[in-house]
Amino acid sequence: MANEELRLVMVAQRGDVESFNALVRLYEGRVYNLCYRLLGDADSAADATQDTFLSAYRHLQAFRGGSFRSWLFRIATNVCYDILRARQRRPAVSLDASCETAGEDTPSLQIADTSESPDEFALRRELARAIEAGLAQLPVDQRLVVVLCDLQGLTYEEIADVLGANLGTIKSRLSRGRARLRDLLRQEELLPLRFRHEGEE
Amino acid sequence: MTTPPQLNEHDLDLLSAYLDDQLSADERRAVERRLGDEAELRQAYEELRATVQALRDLEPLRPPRSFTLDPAKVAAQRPPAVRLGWRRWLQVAGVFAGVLIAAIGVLNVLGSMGAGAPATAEQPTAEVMMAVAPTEAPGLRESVPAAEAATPPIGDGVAAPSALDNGSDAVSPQTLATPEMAALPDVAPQPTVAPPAISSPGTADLAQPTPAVAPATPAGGSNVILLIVIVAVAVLAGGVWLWRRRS
Repeated sequence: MANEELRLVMVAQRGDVESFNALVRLYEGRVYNLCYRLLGDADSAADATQDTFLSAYRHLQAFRGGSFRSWLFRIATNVCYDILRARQRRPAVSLDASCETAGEDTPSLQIADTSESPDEFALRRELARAIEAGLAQLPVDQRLVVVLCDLQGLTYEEIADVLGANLGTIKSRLSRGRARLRDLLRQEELLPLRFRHEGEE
Repeated sequence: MTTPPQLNEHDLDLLSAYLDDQLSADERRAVERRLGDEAELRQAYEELRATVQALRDLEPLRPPRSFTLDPAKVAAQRPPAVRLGWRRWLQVAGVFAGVLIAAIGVLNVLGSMGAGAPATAEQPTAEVMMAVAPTEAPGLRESVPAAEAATPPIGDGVAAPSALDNGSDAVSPQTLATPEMAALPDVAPQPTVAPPAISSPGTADLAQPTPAVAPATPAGGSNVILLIVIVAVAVLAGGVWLWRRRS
């Protein structure tokens, strides 16, 4: 898989757009999800994803081996940072507001299987909504690390590679981001009951 | 409802890393021992684990559209093919050859003109000698074999384009090529005017055994130098042309 990916990169570096498009198809879902979780709305995420791939294509010569995914995510992260900085300068749309409308963009959750009761399904849906809202409230650097680790499944080393930060910084941002989310879920009483009750017994 | 446990940052980092299996064996054992002993830590761990699980359970979104690039549009913007494939090399070689042929042509014409008026060639030649071989030591001339005589100018010729390449941002191929090419014809009649240039007092204190242009093979030596300078200019011009194409 990695070899095939590198082969596609090398052919694309020689100007073959179709090979590059094969890489786009491989990663567009993950890049879109990364952008969406960082930006909080579907339109911005789609624009950022398109910009990411355009930028990656233009700068493909700068890729000198290693993890193509990390390289691509670094570009996506920079694109999202630019958008967030522009929003800060001209805050026409707040992240909270965009997150409230995000529910309209997201596909409706399906009941996972027949064993899931309507109550469980409702709780899962509520939990997903709270997590999304909580992510939007995190500082950007913490949100980014949480998204890369817990949603995208990157290792600490890969995250350090994407962000150009050291492992200690990554661990620290991750634990603080998770703790904040835990506090938010706790406030909304969305943590599983046995955990909340355990301390009360 | 009881107050939830508030961990210090160190314990928080430990639990988070423990969840991701990022602790050393010793650290892991220590955390597990504490989890067995400390109810608060255990509760904090369970809450953190549930939070991480909720994050991981978040369903991925489906992209609203495909993000593949349109080859026609991309080609109109800017192709990424900067890497030198064989076709690219062929183009570059063509440019080199063109510059080389032009330089030799100009050289021949000006060389024949210079032979008819040797007196006027004296001053420029001295300048070229200063520029191309400033460390010539006249006292060692005789002891240097003819084959080695061409070595220092080769070094100079190779160093020049690389140095210029590094700072080639604002230099056009024309401005680089012209002064050197104009000076080249003056090197041709060098044997007749070289001795005065070599014996200039400015070079007398340079005692390093750097060979001079061998007078024993004046025509062959100067031709080699000339060829090297021409090739250097051609490479330089081609390099600058390439750089301009890329940027």
